[in-house]
Amino acid sequence: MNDLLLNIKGLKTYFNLTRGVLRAVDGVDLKVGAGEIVGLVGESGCGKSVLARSVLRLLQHPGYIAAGEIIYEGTDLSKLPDEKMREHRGKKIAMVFQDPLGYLNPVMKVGSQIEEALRIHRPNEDPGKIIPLLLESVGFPRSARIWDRYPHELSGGMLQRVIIALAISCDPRLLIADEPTTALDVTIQAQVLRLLKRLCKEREMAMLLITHNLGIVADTCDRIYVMYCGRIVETADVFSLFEKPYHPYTRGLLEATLSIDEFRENLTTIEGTVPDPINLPPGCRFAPRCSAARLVCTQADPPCLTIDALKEHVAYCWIGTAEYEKSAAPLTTAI
Amino acid sequence: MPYLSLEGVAHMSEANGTIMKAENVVKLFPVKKSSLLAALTRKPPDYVHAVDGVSLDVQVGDTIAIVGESGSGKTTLARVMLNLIEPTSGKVIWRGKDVSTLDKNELFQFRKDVQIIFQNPGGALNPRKSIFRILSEPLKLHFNIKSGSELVDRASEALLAVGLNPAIHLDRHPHEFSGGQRQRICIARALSLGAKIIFADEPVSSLDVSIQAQILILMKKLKEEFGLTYIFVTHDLALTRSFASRVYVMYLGEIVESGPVEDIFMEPLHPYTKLLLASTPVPNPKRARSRETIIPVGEIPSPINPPPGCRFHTRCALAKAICKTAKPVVKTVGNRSFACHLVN
Amino acid sequence: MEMQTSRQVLHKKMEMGFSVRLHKFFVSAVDFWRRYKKTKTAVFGLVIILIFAFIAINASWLAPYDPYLITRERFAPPSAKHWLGTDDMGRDILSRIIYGSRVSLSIGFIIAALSMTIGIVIGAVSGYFGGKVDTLLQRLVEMVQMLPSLVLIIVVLLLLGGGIDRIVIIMGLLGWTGTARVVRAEFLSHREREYVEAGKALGFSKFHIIFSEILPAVIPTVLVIMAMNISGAILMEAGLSFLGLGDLSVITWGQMLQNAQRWLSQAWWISFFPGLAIFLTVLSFNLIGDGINDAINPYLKER
Repeated sequence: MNDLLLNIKGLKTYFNLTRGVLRAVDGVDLKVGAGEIVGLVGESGCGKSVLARSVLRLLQHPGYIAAGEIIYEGTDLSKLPDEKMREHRGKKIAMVFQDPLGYLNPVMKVGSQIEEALRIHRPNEDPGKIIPLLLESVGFPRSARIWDRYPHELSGGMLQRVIIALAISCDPRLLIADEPTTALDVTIQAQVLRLLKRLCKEREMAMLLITHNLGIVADTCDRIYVMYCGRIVETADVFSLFEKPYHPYTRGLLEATLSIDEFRENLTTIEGTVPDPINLPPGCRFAPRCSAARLVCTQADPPCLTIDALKEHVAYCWIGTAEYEKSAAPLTTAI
Repeated sequence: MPYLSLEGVAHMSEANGTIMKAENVVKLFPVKKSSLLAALTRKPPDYVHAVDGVSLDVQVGDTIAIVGESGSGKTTLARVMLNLIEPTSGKVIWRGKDVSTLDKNELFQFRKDVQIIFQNPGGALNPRKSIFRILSEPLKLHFNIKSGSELVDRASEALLAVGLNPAIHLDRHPHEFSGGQRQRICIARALSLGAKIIFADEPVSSLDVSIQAQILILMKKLKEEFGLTYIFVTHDLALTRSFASRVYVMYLGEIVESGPVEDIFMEPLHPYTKLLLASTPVPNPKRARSRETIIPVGEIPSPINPPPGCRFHTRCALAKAICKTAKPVVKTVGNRSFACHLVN
Repeated sequence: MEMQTSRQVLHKKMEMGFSVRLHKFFVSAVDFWRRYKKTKTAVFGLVIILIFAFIAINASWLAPYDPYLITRERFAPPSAKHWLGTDDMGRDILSRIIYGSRVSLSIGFIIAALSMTIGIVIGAVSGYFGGKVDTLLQRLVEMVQMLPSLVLIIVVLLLLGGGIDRIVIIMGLLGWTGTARVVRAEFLSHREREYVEAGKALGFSKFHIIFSEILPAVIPTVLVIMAMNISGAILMEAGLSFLGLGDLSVITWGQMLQNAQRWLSQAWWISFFPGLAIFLTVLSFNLIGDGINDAINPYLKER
């Protein structure tokens, strides 16, 4: 990996609810190198969006960062005072969300909204010159005069591109994209993903792409983290992860994912459902749904196994350890 | 399972062949304008061309996929075929009868026979009713059952068939279930009436990957068990590949290509089908980086006043002069059909 | 064998339909109360109304005197003998307020029930069917709303004479427009939902969809308007009586006020206590309405 841009160490983000403490992110290590596209994959409720929001400290009450460090270019964002944090948002780290319409003011022209962002972060430059350039870089020809339009006049794909223009307006070094294409049609999704990839390359910008779609990560990312119930279960370079998945959850996910390339006579599935995030099972959180689980899996947190150091392939799993070999079958297999 | 299989047997005797058919279905929605302006300009109203001359054929036991992006009219087509809205012109034939001319008894039979499950299973279940009421009300209506114990039996049986536990689940409310379980309840409701044709409008796209597979496996099992016919309305091509036997690709209210799934996925003919396939991400990094890329041009045009000629020409990289003026005729080769000037 | 017993248990469970339903209703009522009681003012309103309702029901043995009894003790100020004093004909004001609560409260409830029924039916039909039916019914709503109701009521009462039954019917027939609008708006949003579409695909009749599928979801909103409507009706009746258009044969708080206006400067208690009763009742119903609203939309309050 080239120089490290973002280094998250042991991050814990909790929500104090009346029912109990919801451990949305529970001890996550994650690294993003400069210019790298990193994918964070997981099913709904696994904490991937909360993780993204924790980085920018955009958590809503009653969420808070309980422990851990978020080191961005040498500074720990989790301990930064609020005013300093505001400088980071948008200027150094930008974010793109799933629903573009919700993040634009419906009664303001697109141009004025970008201008506002520029005025805060780049006050000495002429917005009249930058805005057309920005919009051109996300694929709007100058003749379309997009800056003169209101959000409701644009389609979903165009809006997402406007949001991306807004995000890159201050030349951030890291872009966090939370399900940026989930609401879009496939052909438009392909356009937006291609645009994001091109921008990362051109601007030497790193991207943390959060999605539930394994196809998108395979297509876009260099490195992948797989998240389950608030924890990372496996991480590797994209090729290594898709070719040699180690963790049973990753394998299950890959097997359950359908592809346009092959006809699957027999679908496979991961049995059971995701556990209640307030009452998480002890030990490995995937153990209750794992067909390979043994007693040790339900008793202690899984160790960090290095599968392939060269490809940075790491899995958090008991399988293959001496303890696992010695351990008996689990007491209950109830799901 | 006495009741469910009984309903099944009644239909088993039916001969193979076409069970449902759409013939040249057109559905236009007038665009609302301010009445004053309309009165002043005296302009004829604009129409959303949701479905524009679509014919399709459903064989007994088939799984059909109607594939398209938003605005393609796939959901409107399904609602027309379900007799929920009337077509502007054209007709829907069910078991040899035009559905717009069904008498009261036939319409009841149609409602039992043809069911729908929705994308958002939570929304399809009335949040204020228990699962027992949700399942028993249609049964009371269609089978005129008075006895409470028969209702309980029938409802339990349907729940068992979809892998839920009636002893635990029957008196709960929809909000106490997960998304996957709610979809199971919707399927159980369709089954309990002895449905033969099930329209599935994006049945798994709101669910997580692992849960998607569970529902699809269940649907496959039920299809074999009860001889069901599925019509998938979806944008998910990966699902279509593994699940459907025949696929219809829709674009702006028209079918641009149709045929057996294998043929279409191995060798797409229409440029739009090619674009769709090339745009769908594949969960295989090597293949994703090596396959042909087609750059889609522009945005999907509005279905109000769709482009003249071939509707896809505004986004087609291969478009020629003729595509902008003349509507392509539908060509049929073997069991495949397509509508494109450039492919023969 | 085991299957058989579990089936029997299940049957028993589902067949106790009524008690199960009662239990569910109880559970949801407890849950509603838990949220309702968070609004302290709403609890205050409910207590006041319950007290008035108790008084109205038990008027005959709560009232210390006969409310019609004319005595020589005219204009007696509040004292131990007459807690709230007496009026110009020496009648005990406390007893009159107690008896008046019967008419005032029941008028409020009957008018509200009548106008709600009309409003719900018209709103539901208008919202569910839409199109021409909707346009037609909305024009009707606008026409009724445009009628100057006070003037209309005065004219009718002058022509037909002021009987309490006529007041109730006229106000019931005029007061439904607000309800109709709100119910229509709710139906417009619900009829597009998937469960309604699913109901159609299952072959449910329009009647079933409107009254069994959608209406229960609209009821909480209707309750809020109902509370406001009751207070509006009580106020309206008081206003009419005050103008001398009330029914002279029954005691209502408005009637008492009308009678008191001549003695305003000499004996404040004759007008003050009926006025206070009206004020408290109307305020309480409005507070209850707010409370229900907060209880059914808990998120609005927390934000």
